[in-house]
Amino acid sequence: MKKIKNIFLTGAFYENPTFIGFLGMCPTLATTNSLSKAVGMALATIIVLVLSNFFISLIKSITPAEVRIPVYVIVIATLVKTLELMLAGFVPSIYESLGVFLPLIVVNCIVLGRAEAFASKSNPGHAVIDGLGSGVGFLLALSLIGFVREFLGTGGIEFVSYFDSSVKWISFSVIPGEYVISLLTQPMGAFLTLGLLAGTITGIRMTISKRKANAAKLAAGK
Amino acid sequence: MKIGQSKPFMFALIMFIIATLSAGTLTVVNQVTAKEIAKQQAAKYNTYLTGAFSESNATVSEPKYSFAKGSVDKSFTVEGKGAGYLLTGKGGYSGDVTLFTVINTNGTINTNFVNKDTNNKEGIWLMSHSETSGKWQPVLEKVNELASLTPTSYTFFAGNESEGGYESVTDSTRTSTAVRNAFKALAYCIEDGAC
Repeated sequence: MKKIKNIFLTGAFYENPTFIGFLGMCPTLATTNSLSKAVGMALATIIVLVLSNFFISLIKSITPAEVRIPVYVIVIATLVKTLELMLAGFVPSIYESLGVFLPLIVVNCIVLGRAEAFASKSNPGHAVIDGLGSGVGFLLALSLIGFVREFLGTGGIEFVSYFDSSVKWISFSVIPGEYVISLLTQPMGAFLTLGLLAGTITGIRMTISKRKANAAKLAAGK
Repeated sequence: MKIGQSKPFMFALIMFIIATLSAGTLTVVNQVTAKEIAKQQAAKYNTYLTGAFSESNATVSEPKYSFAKGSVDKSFTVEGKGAGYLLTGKGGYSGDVTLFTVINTNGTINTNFVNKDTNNKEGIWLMSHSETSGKWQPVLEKVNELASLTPTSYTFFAGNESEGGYESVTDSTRTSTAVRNAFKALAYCIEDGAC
């Protein structure tokens, strides 16, 4: 149980794919101009990540090391295409809002990275937990960037329902129009927000690890 | 030793099995979703036709008219009012562009449809594409703006600027070309009497 918790927390926080690993930057920068799009992208990635980790772990013993990458790509591409067709058929609004970024999950480094680094060496159960952990880490990171960009860029949040674009799950506006930083919703704002958030998070992590090291030193001194 | 190590034939066999399984899975998924996707598309055509002509009672046909750079895939004729056309244009930045447009009987683009989100009048819609939104959105906005300001014939969108047609949108030249090719296909199709 402790191992499962560790695998999950490592993927989600300690080795967060976005802020620590800097993986999957293309969807991170492109889909975070609104919170609902960012969450939609992350949810689609979680589904692919969990399933690809599961299947890759399942076939690891019959996958020769020499051709493992093409095999992983076939598995991931099949899952992404399946998800794409399912969304187009049953949840068209999310399919439309994700647009060209949905097929691009195939080349998302997080999916291939977790397959290579974890799923190909672990049992299917652990691989699923790792996929879920990394996916949740990706979801938290994208939500944070999406929230900051949309809130400061438009003055509020408008979370559009994935099932009916005329329904809004969350809708509020706090900052008056003349004080919003509309630059943040532009592509350039994605780089700025990502850089500032990654810097802040790295700063916090370094402070914590320094304090821990100091505490350990003190304890050793005694 | 694991299966296939240092044996090229085994590598090929394993890849073949996995690719076959993948193809099988996708065939099944396609069977399950094809009907739903067709329904979604049909619902969209109906919405656009209803917005344009206040009725969606159209006769659907598939002219399958094509030239080297584009094709007319479907037509929806509303008796006495006009028709909707599903067009494909080649030459986009990263592939084909599929459009739906509604034309009045006099040949002008019908822009009676009002987009609920933007409140803009529209008569040309993008159905599928491989471009990034930054490429096609300015083109669509421009063609719809042009069509809604003054009654504009579909032939205007089929020509280059030098031929009296519309000017390509800066930075989206290839997407503009794909849109032009789609309308060229329609112009040729109507000229030939196939649409």
